[in-house]
Amino acid sequence: MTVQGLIEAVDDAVPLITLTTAGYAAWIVSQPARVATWLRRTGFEAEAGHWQVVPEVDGDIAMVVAGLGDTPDLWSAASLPSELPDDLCLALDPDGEGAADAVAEGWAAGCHRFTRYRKTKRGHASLVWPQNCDRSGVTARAEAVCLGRDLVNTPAEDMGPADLEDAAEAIAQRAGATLSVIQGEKLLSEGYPAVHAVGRASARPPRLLDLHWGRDDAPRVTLVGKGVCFDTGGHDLKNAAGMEKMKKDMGGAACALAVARMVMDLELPVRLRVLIPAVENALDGNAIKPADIITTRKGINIEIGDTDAEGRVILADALAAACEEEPELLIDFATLTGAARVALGQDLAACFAKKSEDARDLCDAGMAVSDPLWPMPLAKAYLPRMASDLAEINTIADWAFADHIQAALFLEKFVGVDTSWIHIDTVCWNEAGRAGRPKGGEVQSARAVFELLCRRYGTGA
Amino acid sequence: MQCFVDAAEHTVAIVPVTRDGLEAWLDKAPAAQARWVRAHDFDGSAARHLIIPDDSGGVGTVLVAMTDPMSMFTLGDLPMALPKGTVCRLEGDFETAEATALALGWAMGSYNFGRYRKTEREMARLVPLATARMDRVVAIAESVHLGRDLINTPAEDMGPAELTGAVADVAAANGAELRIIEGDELLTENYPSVHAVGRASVRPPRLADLTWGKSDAPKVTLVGKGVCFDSGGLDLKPATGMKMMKKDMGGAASALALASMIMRLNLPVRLRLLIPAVENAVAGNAFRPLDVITTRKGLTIEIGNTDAEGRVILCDALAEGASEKPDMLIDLATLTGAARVALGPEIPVYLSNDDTMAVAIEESAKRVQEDVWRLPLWPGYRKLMDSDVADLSTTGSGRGAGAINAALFLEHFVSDDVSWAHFDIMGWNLNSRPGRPKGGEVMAVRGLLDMIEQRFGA
Repeated sequence: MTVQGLIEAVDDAVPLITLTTAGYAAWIVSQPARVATWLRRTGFEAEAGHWQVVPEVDGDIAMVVAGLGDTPDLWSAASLPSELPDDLCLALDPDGEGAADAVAEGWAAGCHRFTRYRKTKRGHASLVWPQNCDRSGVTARAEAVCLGRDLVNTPAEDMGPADLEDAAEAIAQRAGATLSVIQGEKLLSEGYPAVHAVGRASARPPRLLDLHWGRDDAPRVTLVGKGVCFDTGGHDLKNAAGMEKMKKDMGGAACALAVARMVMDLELPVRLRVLIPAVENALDGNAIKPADIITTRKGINIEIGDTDAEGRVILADALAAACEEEPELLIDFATLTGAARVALGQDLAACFAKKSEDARDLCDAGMAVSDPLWPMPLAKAYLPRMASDLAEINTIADWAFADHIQAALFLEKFVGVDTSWIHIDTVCWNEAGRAGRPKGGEVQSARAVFELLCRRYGTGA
Repeated sequence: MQCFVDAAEHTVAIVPVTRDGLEAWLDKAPAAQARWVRAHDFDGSAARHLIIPDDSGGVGTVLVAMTDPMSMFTLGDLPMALPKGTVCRLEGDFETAEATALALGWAMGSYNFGRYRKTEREMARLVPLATARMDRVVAIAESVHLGRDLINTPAEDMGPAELTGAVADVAAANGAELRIIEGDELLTENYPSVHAVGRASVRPPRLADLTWGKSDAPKVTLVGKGVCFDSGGLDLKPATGMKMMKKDMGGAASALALASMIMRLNLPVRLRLLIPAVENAVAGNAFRPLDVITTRKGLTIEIGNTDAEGRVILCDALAEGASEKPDMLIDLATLTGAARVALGPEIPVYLSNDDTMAVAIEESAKRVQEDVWRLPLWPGYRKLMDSDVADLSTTGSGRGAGAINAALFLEHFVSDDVSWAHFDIMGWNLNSRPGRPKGGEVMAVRGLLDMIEQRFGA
């Protein structure tokens, strides 16, 4: 996989001038009358995502002017590659504004298409790698994001637990990480009963993927990703509208793998562990049933309130396993609840943290890299709503409110008392295509977490 | 207040103990008392109390569990839980802030809605500690009780006239000025949105406009959603959704309670309270989906759903409130189910265009032991409120984020240079908690009172 849309220098590259609204006002007065008139007459005002091609006298393209709006972000110019003429080669003009890294990364993300099942309908314009650009950083982030999107976009038929394992194995191999896999009935003998219970009804056996990388004496960062390769809901079967996009229910795993790939590519000075419970929540004679009680890895007995609240069940065992070695930072990603979407919509992932400064730091990092999250509370007062009549806790609450908070409170039970833990409830899907973010799978929050890790641990050598 | 008594011949000692403090108390206690406590497994766990008998078999002492830090609702269950007619005194060294908080928790727990039936039992009463600021406790608690009463009153007895009547009572008690605009006068006075939502009811819509305080003092303006009953209108609610809709004036009740506190505590502000009071009813003249209303501000709005009516009446009230450029503009509303899904029924949601005020709101809430949680006025969702034919839609095309989208709608009616906070509240306790009995509840107001005091002085 290589980063798309970014090329080495070419002779005939067209200048691309990226300008904020304010910068444009200053720049335009320095332009020849012909250029200024054209831009004024075509109504160009340097709004984010707006661009205008400026002609030469002979009809050739003289330059492309692109607006960054008032506050440039990663996506300000990311619609250009798919909107400008195919095969146009551009080079960032030094008169322009905006961070070269952001323009390049947004450009690469905007060029990516999911081509497994058909050719792309059209190509994309290309950008010459800007000078003073962090090429390795941009490449690592963009590649990981595009890989993660592909994993989410792949239909469940081709992205079962074994396929998710293959994807993790490929990522591990290129970085020299080790991947161990516990599969099928071995999950029971190895102490992952909750992962097994959720995944056992599928013809494709459940797995626990466990990736290790980095020096033993480095700070331990552990990522956990919900890998429900398809979620029918189980006995509490989803309706058609709710089931339609459930190939994306391994989006948390895709996020974890995307972050892992960035961390390893850029050699962050951490000891990384990634735990992915990979299952299919299917319906069969042996499927778990509502009101079943499972003794989890941690020994906590949980009552299944709803078989469609299966993500928290598999995460329970993975989080417990993660905490057995006391990581310095534990982050889990999951497409966990519809309630998080009702609360925050499609743009914002919800994050919960035991330490409020962890949530704040992550949200700050997310805003800085245009991958926003919003904090939500671990409201202890709501824990009693998950009381079970028979077991230590129910997987769902006895009311229809704040399910994302209830789910986070459930997960917290499986996290060590002293562990710094962040839980991310993410949507991993772009409902509508936006600049740089085509409709479909997304690794929402992955770049935010990577930025947090860079800020905490440095960017390595 | 009936829940307090200045002095009494026989009083029962209430002894708050922390888990850690319990052992020390037991060591000093008479052997029989210590045995009684141990026999009942009283271990100081939160929200528990234990009555210890005296030598004659009467109520001797009441041990009550106290958390660290102390909850203001430590005594909140006791007025209803102790034997009827018990008169209590509080034992222990509590400085003014703690004693005041405990007394307020007692008062907030001493609530019974007795309009339609006799009180089931006589509540216990408390001789407050001398260190407690009782004038403050009574001002706040009576305002809270007033708000709860308004919400608990069935819609039949709490229409727009009764709601604005309650505003008039509070205005009269505090020497505030009040203007009430009613029925078709709302059209001539240019409150078309309030009129449109309320016109289908046989009880005409109203706008109550209260002002109080010196005209040169900092201006604090409160707006409360007063939908006295919300049938949903033509987009009629199903039975489960309509059942609780007498509470849809909970924002108005909360705003009125806060206004009452501000006036009774004589805060150095110029207060204005705007309450659009309507009933969202179904009739031949009801407003309809995709009707377009030209609002007070001149912006045209397209009705996406007649059950999103709260934001419609608020938009005119907010436009009027903002036009004076107050130092602070706060609205309270039982606005969206999405806010309840977002934070649950017990945590009010707020959104603000002023980060400094948002932080102050959070700090004040913490200080008075209220929960609130901020959601963002997320700019990325603004375009989702676009309409095909009007300046904006009331509901928009967004999926999810209903509480945020509603606030983004309201933001259009507030100018950027006005510090504004919008509270989306439940207005109702689904379950009884200490000091917060099941039923109507004013929410977020004690924190807002503190925030206003911190900002402008008490």
